[in-house]
Amino acid sequence: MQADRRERGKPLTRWLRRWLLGLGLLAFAVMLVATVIAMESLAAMDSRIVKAMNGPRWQIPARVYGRPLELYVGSNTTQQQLVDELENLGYQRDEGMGPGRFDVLGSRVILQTRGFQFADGAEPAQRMQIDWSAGALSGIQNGKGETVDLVRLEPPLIGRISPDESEDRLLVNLDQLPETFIATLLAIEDSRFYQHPGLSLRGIVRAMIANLKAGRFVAGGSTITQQLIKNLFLTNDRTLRRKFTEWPMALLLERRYSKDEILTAFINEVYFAQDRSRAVHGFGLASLYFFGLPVQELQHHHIALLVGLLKGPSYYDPGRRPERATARRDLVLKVMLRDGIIDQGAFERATAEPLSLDQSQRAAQQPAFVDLVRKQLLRDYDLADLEQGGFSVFTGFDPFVQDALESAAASRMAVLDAAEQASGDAGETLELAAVVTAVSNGEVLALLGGRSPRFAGYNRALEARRQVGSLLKPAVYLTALMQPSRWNLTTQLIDKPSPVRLPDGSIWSPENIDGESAGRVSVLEALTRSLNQSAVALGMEVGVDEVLNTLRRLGVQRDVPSLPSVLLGAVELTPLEVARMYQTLAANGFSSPLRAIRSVVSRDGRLLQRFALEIRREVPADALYLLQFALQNVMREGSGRSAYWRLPADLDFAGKTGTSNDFRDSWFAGFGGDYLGVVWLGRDDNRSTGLTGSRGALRIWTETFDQLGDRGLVLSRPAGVSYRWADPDTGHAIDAKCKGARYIPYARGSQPKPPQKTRWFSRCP
Amino acid sequence: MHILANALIGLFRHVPRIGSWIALVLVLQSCAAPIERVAARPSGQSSVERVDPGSAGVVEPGLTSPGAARVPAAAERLQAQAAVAYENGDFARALALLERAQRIAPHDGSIYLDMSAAHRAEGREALACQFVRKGLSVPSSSEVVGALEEQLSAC
Repeated sequence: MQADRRERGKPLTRWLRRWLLGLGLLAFAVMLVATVIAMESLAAMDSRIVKAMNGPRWQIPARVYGRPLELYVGSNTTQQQLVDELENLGYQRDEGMGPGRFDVLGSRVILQTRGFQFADGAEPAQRMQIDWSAGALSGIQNGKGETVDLVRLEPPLIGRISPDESEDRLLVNLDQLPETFIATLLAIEDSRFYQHPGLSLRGIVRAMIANLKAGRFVAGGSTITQQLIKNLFLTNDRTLRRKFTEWPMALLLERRYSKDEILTAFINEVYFAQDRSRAVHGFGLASLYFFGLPVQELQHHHIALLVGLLKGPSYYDPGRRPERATARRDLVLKVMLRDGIIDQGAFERATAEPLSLDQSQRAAQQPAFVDLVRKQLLRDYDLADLEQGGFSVFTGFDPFVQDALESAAASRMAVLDAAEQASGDAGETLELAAVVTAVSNGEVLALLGGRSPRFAGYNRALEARRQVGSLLKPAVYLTALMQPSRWNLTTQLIDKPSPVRLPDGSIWSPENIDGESAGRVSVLEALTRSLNQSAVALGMEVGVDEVLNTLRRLGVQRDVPSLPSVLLGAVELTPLEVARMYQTLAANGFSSPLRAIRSVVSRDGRLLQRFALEIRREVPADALYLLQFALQNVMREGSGRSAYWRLPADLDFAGKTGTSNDFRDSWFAGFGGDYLGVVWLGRDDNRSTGLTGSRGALRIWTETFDQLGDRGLVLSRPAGVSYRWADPDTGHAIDAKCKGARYIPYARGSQPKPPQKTRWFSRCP
Repeated sequence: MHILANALIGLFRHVPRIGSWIALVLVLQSCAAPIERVAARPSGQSSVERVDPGSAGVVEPGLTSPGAARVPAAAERLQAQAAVAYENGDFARALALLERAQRIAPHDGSIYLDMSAAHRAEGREALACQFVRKGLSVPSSSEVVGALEEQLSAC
């Protein structure tokens, strides 16, 4: 029986054994495959982590900075301007000293600068005492009482170059953060961060209980490491699948990187807010965005709010939901007190503080100027590099000049709007564009692309090509004055209808703006009165092509058709192109490209490119001097004279108005010794504005220059120019005491001759 | 003036008729000329303040004008730092410092002289010559003018 059983059992045992063996082999194979897959997955995860952490971790837009304010004895910076600058930079005004703080004591400002790493070297953080006397900056001393020649503040941030939808952040290191910051962050987010291996079993159990109670997935028990993994690689979905990806990645991250490296990455990665098209990430940028302060200067109540916001940046948005944000901040402050991070006194002071939100950093954005910077950079850099490479771009943008331009434009546009409303004109809104440059080096200091300075849209200063009208006439007269043997300022022209046959056979016969012909006039008077007929007569005599050649020498690079109508400004240029042309006139004939950028620095602080000052004499000094004299006459006696209703009479300015057909465009371009300004007014649909250059654009220019405090134009007379008393009505040299005598400059070889018939007792005609 | 004219006419009452006419013309001319001269100048705010554009503020190029503003010490300090950079062969840094100095003192010919030297050291001969010309277009001391003219002769 037993043998039978054994006989019967043998096949069964064999079968079972085989079955078990097969099952074992299958299980082994499955495990092997699973292990291979798991290993592959882990290797892929590891590779993603290494790539993200070691490479350029984030795409950081280029940051664009304005000029750093330089303080020195003799500078024309007023005390109020310095205070404005410091407030715009987020300096706190109080008696206690520390980086980023200042105080005003009478005519003295005491401040502690923050220091800044410029392309040409570091500017140290230091305590300074700056004094004014009789309204002028009279002395600078450092904290040791030593006299200092020059102080350079950090530059104001004026914008960034980024794609339409993008993340933005300002990278910070752990050692830049206040001591209480890290302690608070860990107390709120992950108190065992430095103990756990990336996952917190305690946290997971706590979360599981919460999920079971709720019957759905409500908590994840994430450590800082897990949150970083989620932010860098995963979605916000609260699913088990995400968790099963997150956990191994967190462990891998901890195996690869130190705790401090993970914490630094987290601090720079976390999301805080949506600022129009950009997402504000990281504590560095959030600190500036919410409070206008660098992270080093955060106080307890700032820290508590920022850390508290991590739980729900949108839910606790301090701008839209201040009560919720305050309650959350105070809760964090309680934890800080409980954990001994702050004492009772600090707690009470912090909870008594308002949210202290600062909007100035958001208002300081200059989209029109940044647009110009972007366009200039695109000549040398890929767009992707600009939008993601984390460059720092330093420019000559001057907030004082921009403020003057904006306030002048706003006040004048309000007057013009009121006039339009009163007249019932309900067409396209009157628009404007303006450019201000530094005469001495061609730096663009301020820019308006439209009447709404903060609107990043159609940039008329760069893109609106409009007929320039009489703004072009100086090029006609300059062409003539460059031939001193034929023309000087008192050469007589005939202002009368002079029909011109055009290439298509038609006849063109321009009229003066008042419909009258002036008859016999001097070159000086013709330009001063902006007479059309004499300008065309002169232009035809010197040759249209010669005038176009002069335009090119002045810096106009656009192709302009060789037509007689060009002589009266039937040329479409942008305000920036007009500024380029007048820059050469203002800079005594030295042409220099208009520069918005001074230098570009890489993410790691290396100087990538410097945009050096370049100059080239394009117009002979003698002819340019005569033209500047005539353009000053335009301001004293011609269409620019209303500027002296506001500007000091003892200062000289030079300029020219421009009005296109049917008053579609109102222009003014003018300069003193320090600044050149070009203003345009018009409509986007090209309808009439009803404004001449002097009634529209000149008023804005005047108000701007009145605020700028330009020191006026001081002509430097070239050796080849000498002054003579002459009669502009005849072009003859006469005695100073003769009727109508004027003291006029002449280039060598072009001095006037006395009249053939004079009285025997004087040289008067 | 009318009293003076009457006196002169009285003086010439006993001399030939032509003498009276000469006296009359001279007196009237002396009365009229100053008024005409002021009125002929381009306008400022009023006829009394009229000044020919540019003629009041004309500065001779090349030589330092007595009224020219002093160069701020800040610009001189930057020039000194630029000189050190130049000596060390760091011409790019020298130029960056000189451009800061030029923004502070744009009418100082010596800065353009230094910029010219830095550009020449970097092999930009043509640009160096342009800065020499620029330097000569602003008022400077005789030493600077001399140095600029010497540089110009090499252009």
